[in-house]
Amino acid sequence: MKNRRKICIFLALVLTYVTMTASLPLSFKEMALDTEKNVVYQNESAEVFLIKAKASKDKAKELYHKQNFVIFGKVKSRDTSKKQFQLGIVRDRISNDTLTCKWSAATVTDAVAELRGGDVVKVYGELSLGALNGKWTMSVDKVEKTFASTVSDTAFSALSGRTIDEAECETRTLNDGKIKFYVPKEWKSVEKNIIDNNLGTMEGYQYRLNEIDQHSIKPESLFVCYFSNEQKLLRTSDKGRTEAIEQEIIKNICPDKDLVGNIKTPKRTQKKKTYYDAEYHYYQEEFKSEGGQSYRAEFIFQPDGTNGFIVYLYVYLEKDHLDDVMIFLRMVEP
Amino acid sequence: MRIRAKGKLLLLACIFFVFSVGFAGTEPVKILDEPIPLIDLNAAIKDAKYGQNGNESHQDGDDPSKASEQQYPGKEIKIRVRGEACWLGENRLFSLSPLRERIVKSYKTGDKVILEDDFAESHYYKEILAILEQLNEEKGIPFFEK
Repeated sequence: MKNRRKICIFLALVLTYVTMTASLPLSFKEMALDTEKNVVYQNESAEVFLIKAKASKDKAKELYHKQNFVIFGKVKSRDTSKKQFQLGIVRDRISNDTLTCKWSAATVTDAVAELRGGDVVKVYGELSLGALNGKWTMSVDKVEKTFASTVSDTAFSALSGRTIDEAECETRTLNDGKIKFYVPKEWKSVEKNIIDNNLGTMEGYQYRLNEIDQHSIKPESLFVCYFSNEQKLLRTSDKGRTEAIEQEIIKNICPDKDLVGNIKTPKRTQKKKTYYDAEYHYYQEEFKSEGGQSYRAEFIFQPDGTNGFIVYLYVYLEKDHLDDVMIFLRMVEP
Repeated sequence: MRIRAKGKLLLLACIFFVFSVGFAGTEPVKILDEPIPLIDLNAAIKDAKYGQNGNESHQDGDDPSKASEQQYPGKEIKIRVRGEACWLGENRLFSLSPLRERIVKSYKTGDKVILEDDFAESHYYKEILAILEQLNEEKGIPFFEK
C-alpha cells in the first residue's frame, strides 16, 4: 500500500512537471518576432570568408563564430554517408581552401542529392570554429543552387530566400540621429511618420506592410519608435524602472481591460540577448479596434541604457511580411 | 516559551510593516498626459471592411449589353467598386493612380473591361468611369458597366 501511494505521488509530481514545462514554451511558440525561430542570415561569399578565416583566426572568430550566414560558393565534393560536403571558392583558381558543411535535416539530404560537383550554391546555416581541431564548419539549414555570380555582403536573407540588401535601403534615424535603421525600398511607399500624420505622440514611423503592392486589405503594420524617458516620463527619476515603464507604454497604446474595467498589467513574455547581441524584452498583447476587430500586437522593447527604449510594435491579422520584419530588426543599429 | 512566541510574532509584524511601507512608498510609473496616445492604433490601423480581399463571387444578371460583350471573346478585366473602395480582379487598389497602367498592362486584343457598381459612391464611380472612357478613346479598350 505504501509503495502504491509513493508511486502515485511520484506520478503526480512527474505529471505536474510535464504540464508545467509543456505549457511554458507554448507562449514562446506563438511569438512571431522570435529571433531564434525566424533566423536571419547575413550574406557572404566563400572567397571572402575563407580569406578572412585564414588571415586571422581571432578576427574571424569574432566575425563568424556561432553566427548565421548564407555562404555563396561552389560544391567541391560531397560525402552523403557522412552527411557533409566541401564548399569552395567560385573562382577556384584563387585557392583550394574549403569549408566543411554538415547537415542532419532530411530536407537538406534531398537537396544535396540533387547537387553535382561544380554547382554554385547558397548554403544557409550557422558557422562555428572547432575548439579542438581549429577548423571551421557550417551546420546547414538549407542549401540551394543559384545562378547568381556575386553576393553582396551587406545583404541579409530569411530561410525562405527573401533577401534585403542594406546598401539598397534608405536610412532613417531616431533620437537625434543616435539610432539608425534601414528601410527596404518596397516599404517606402507605405511609410507614415507618426507625429507628422497625427498617429501618436511618440517619435517614429509606421509601415503599413499589407499595402505593399496592394497585397491585402487585412492590416499588418510595423511601428518603429523611440521612447525618451526624459521627454515622456512624468518623473524622470523613474527612468531606471525598466519593466514598469514598458508596462505603462503598453497600457497607453493597448489599454486591455478586465471584466471590472481596470486596465490589466501586461506581462513580459521573454527577455533575452539575441544572437546579434541586441537586448529584447517581449510582450504579447491584443489590440481591439473601435470597430470590434481583434489584432495580435507584439511588442519588443530594446533598452537604450536608462535614456529610453526603441519600441517595436507588430500589429497583424496575418503575418505575411514576417521575413521582411525579421530582416528589418536585424539591420537596426542602436 | 511564551516570550519566544511573542518575540516571533513581533518579528513577523515588523517584517509585514516594513514590506507594506516599502510597497506603499513606490509610486507607479506615469507617462505624461497627452491628448492622444503614444501610438493611436485606432487612427493608424484601418479595419478591413469588405470581406476578404474583395474576392466575393458575383452572379451575372441579365444584361442587355451582353450581345455586344460577346464580340470580345478574350478575358474579362473586372473592376468592382464599393463605397470608396475599388478592386481590380481580386486585388484592392488603395489609390486610383495605378489603375490605368495596370489595365493597359493586362489588356490584350479581344479582352474587355467590366465595371461593376457594387453600391459605389457616385463621385468615386464617376472618377473610374472617366479613366475607362479615356482608355476607350485613346487605346480602344472596350468596357461594359454592370
